[in-house]
Amino acid sequence: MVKILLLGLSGDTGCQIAAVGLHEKLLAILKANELVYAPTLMDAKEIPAKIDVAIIEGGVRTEHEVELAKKIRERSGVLITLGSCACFGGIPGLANLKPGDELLGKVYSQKGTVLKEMPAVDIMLPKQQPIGDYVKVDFKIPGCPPEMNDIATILTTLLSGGTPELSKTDVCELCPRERVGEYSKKLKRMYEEVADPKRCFLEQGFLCMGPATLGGCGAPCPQAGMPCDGCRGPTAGNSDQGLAMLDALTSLTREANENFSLPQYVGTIYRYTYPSSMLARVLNGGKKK
Amino acid sequence: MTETIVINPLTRLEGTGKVKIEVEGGALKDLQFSVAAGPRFFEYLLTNKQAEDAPRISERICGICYVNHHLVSVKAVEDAWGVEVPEVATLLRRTLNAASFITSHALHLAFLALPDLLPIKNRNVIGVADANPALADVAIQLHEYGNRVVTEIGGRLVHVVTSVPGGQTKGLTGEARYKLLREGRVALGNARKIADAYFGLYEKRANDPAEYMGSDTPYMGLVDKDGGYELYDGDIRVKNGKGEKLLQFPAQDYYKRLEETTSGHSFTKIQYLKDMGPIGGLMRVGPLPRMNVIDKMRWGTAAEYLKAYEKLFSRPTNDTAAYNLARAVELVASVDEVLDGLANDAITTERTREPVKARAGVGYAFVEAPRGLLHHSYEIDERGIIKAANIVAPTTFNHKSIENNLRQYAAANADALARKSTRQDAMWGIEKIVRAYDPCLSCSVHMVEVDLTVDGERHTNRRDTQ
Repeated sequence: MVKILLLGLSGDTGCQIAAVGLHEKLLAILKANELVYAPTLMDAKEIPAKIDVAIIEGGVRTEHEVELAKKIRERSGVLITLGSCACFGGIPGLANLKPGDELLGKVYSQKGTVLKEMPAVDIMLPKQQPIGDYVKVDFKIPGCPPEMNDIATILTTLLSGGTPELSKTDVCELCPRERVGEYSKKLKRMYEEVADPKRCFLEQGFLCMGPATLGGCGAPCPQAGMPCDGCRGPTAGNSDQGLAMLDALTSLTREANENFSLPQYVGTIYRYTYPSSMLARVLNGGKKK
Repeated sequence: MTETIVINPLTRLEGTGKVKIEVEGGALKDLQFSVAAGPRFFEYLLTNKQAEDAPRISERICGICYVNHHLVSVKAVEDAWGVEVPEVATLLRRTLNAASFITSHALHLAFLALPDLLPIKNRNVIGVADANPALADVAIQLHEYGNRVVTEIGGRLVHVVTSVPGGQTKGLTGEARYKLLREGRVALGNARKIADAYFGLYEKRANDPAEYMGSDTPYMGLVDKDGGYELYDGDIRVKNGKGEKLLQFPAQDYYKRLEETTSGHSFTKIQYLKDMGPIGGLMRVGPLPRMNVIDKMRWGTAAEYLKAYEKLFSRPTNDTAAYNLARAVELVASVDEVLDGLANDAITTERTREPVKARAGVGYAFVEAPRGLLHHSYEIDERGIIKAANIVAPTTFNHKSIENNLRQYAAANADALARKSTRQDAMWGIEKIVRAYDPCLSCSVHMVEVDLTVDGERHTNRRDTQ
């Protein structure tokens, strides 16, 4: 019986919900092992002294979360980060684009808010960071959320002592959309035109993160008529998804796109990975966090 | 001597929250219900982003109510741009929204709330599966059905992708439609089984108003043009516990009708109805309020269950115990609505969207999420870039009313809370009430911020005077 902890930090619980979607497969995993702490699913209130496998969702945004991550690391044999917030910082990390103090001024000047008292529940950190910036992570399961089958296969392999492997390809690998080798020179917005459902989005001028994103998901978004938005983070061996996308854009279109601007597209090419990107580090004076 | 009791973390619910209770001399001194999930600044991070990306970004607020965030977000952008979508797109979205209720309610009723109502020792998912394997099985099938509808229409499970200003990027094939219809009839039977189990439990229950308590608050929910049950469109109706209609207004009147303030002990903001002020205007939203504000159910099976509900609770009722039973009625209603949508031939129309033009403007939208009303509004510039965003989730609306409900219970049970021998049960009573609301704590984190430490230096935040 492997003792499992399942916890969400600053995130949306979506990864745990994706895991719940496994139904029988999840129940089988839970029954064959011992779930010792999982506030979303059960009533245990204390972090146990000994954990074999800790699975953590969400990024780190408060001091309490840093302490939790450290405590769990000390008490766990293996620590797995589940989902792109935990692995790379995720969408909430886009708020890191603004310095913390400026952020505060902004959110407080909203119309319709009468400020009475400062909340003092916890101490906020200036930025959202991935868990790996605070403690050692043994294995990452990326995705927003990770694909259900990935969760099942990876957990089963890890729990039986094996070393799971992530895809070595990009999202385009399994995308059925056709490429004919001609690219639009202008970037288009999704609402402006109804895209040809059979042809590659990038060729048609719609920014699709497929070439810069870790594969293995089966390209469900392009198949549902939407470009990939990069939720699985960078491909194997590539640490910066946004730069990889810029590289793909310039090499595929053979010339820089005339209407591309970083401020407008930073939320597209770094949607899930900004806190762990080189851009963030450059803007942060070379520091990681 | 003051004794402080803390329930932390609250369990079997979405997100991170805690309750702090202070008891002195056998009486309640103070109680604080806190949302402790770290704020994620979604309203800020949506600014300067392309408006068409908002549905995909903002749904990451919540792993349970993602469908509702996705839909309300696209509606807000379309409202700003003055866009009308094709009939098929509305039909697909309504069906998608209803399907999210099936999944969410099945999960909550069978696995999160049921352990509170059954005499089982192991109060969790596995406990329910062991005590009542047949019911757990039905719930899993229903959860799977909701997920299949969401995946088919939304393109992907947990974080759907298909809504874009102007319509949907993916339609439904005839084959997929018939498959979902066929499975939907089984799902309706399964929803009835879960609802019947709840009605069975509630019929046997003493119906003791002291168990969950609850007081007369404004109740807020959507209604269609005939005052009927509505989850996707329509006006916001407000009624009080006496059944008097206080207000009815369209989404665009948000700032005329609602205001918000902050609390020192929670990361969530506090909403109230301006007309009734910061205390009298603290509302409740969700399954029970929806039953309180509507005149009727739109579909047959659900109408039958609403009638059965009326035998156990008056409509309106202030008794928080009715939340679970109202949820059971809604589980049936949501399968009804999915079947209704799928039965409409227009749902397989091939062209599901039209190209649209961005323009400068402000857009407002509401939908009902499983936990209650959900609001997004955006200010968008002429290039289609978001300049400001406001997001109010159901638990933001409910937050203060939940705290008041807990306070009411803790005051009545202060003695039991003070004594060690009875404390455990009284604390469980508190958690039971929180859970009845099925709060979504990560959703509710609506950027009330807080003590911020930047490089070791603590910043306090002051509201800019405007």
